[in-house]
Amino acid sequence: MAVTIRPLGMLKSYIGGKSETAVDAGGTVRKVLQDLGIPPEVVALVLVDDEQQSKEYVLRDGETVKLMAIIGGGTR
Amino acid sequence: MTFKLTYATMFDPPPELHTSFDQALAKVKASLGKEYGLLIDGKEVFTAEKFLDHTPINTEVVLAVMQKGGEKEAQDALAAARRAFPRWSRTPWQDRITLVRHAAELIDERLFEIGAAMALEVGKNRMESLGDVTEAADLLRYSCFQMEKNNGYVVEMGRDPLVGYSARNLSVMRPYGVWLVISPFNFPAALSYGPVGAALVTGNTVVLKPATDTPWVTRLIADCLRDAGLPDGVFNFVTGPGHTLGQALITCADVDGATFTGSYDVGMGIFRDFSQCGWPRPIILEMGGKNPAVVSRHADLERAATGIVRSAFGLQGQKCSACSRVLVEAPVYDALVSRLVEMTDRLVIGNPTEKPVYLGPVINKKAYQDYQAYIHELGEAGEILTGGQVLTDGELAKGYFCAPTLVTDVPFSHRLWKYEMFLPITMIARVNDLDEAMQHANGVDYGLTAGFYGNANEVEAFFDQIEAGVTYANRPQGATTGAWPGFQPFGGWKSSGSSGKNAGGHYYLPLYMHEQIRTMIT
Repeated sequence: MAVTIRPLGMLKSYIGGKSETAVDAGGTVRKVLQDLGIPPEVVALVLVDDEQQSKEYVLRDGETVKLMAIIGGGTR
Repeated sequence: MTFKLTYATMFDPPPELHTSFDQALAKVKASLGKEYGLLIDGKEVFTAEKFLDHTPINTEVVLAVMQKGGEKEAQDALAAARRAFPRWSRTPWQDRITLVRHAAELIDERLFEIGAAMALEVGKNRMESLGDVTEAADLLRYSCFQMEKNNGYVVEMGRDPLVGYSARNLSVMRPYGVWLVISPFNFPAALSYGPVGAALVTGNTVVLKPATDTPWVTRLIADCLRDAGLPDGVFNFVTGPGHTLGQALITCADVDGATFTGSYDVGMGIFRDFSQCGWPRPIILEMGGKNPAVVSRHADLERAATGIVRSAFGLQGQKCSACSRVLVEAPVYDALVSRLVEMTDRLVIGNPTEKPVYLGPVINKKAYQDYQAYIHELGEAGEILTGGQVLTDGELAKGYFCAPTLVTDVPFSHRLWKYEMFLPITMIARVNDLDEAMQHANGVDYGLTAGFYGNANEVEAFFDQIEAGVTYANRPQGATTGAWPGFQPFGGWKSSGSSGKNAGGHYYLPLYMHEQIRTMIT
């Protein structure tokens, strides 16, 4: 099994507009972001299986990670 | 560290984002002028009278043909919501949030098309347009998250010490019934679907009426809720004038609660109408602001200038959180003002669908005329440092473009120090010390957002003294703007809001429910 990464909203543009992609387990969220070319500083919220986690969280097989951009809603 | 006033201050998008936006814009432009119905009881409804939705970028362009709903449509929509309420309110909250999350996913999927429509209809620049649409999806998700985190708001209370009996007491939060949402033009996505999401996940059924200037983008998102599979009548969407349709929706018999976001005058009118009902009904009012930025002699002036310009002129000053007043301690006044003028003069104004543009047009002819009247008034009372004119060169002549304006030397007794203009006009004043600054900062009826730039001790005093619901210190991304769900729940004090609980925060969902205590003796 792998880890499913689901960037929300505008963050999808970092993975070619796709809704999700898969990565190997065992790395931190930060490392995965770097490997995918998503600047960690633009990610405001990391949800692992709908629980908020830090970017230092170590991902496990079967988990789904949702990523929300800092601009997402940061407009009001 | 220096901050540049670019989108990158908050979000540095990859080139693919702009490519996606441009492709979506072309697609959206190719199908302009389509007719859209109301959505009542799951059906598309067309009325005899229509109205044309124009873009403020070029008033010759028709974006969409919308329905001019009136009293009948108001009654039909409220009746549909009433019929749908018993079943929806008894649907387990876990099932409700599944549907609402699905709607959020559909908004995500259609982000660029809806964002392009937003830029055309509201005149927002492309990043702010995408941000507003994204925020709508985020707010739907946030309401789901809160419902889940609070286990549907069912809480076990203490057990009574009744001799010979066992008592169990439960606190259960239950929906009110039919919830009316009236939303503003400036954030037709977030400020429509934030309240809609909160009402739906808590088990209310909804009638949404968007602002007359922004029915189209609101309808495009309504399609996402419909396509997510919400049962017929649970969510209804109506368009039409405020003085007819809007007024017909404010009925005591048919509405159990309401969320209004817009001007103070309209909001207070609704508040008074609701007070005539047979019993008190909840009404969440999110009204205007006259938001100050206070700059101390110890501030990082580069950071302050960046935050102030961003907040003063983002969305052409038409945010309720816009920074419309700047109060600067005398020793740094000249340096700050010079930097503010320099940064303002560098802002790019034009067609907001284009990548480099920061400021688009103001929303409509009335706003355009108001701008000119205020400029005249302020020019007589003080000094216009930059801006102060409408822009009519070339293509700009077809839209409502106004130069971002900084004004100084207006006496504090002038009425516009306390009046919300809702335009790209910011007033600046020199103060002798922070005590004087705080007196002026709090000396208005509004209390929505406020910003401060200074040292750590001063920041603590600012937070303690300021009368506002959302406050920021030393923030380059925005002196008074830039809230996002789950981080800066958004709401105001005094004339800015009625509930004292901020949207997108811990205490928001319970506003949409009333408590029932259930005592069971066995």
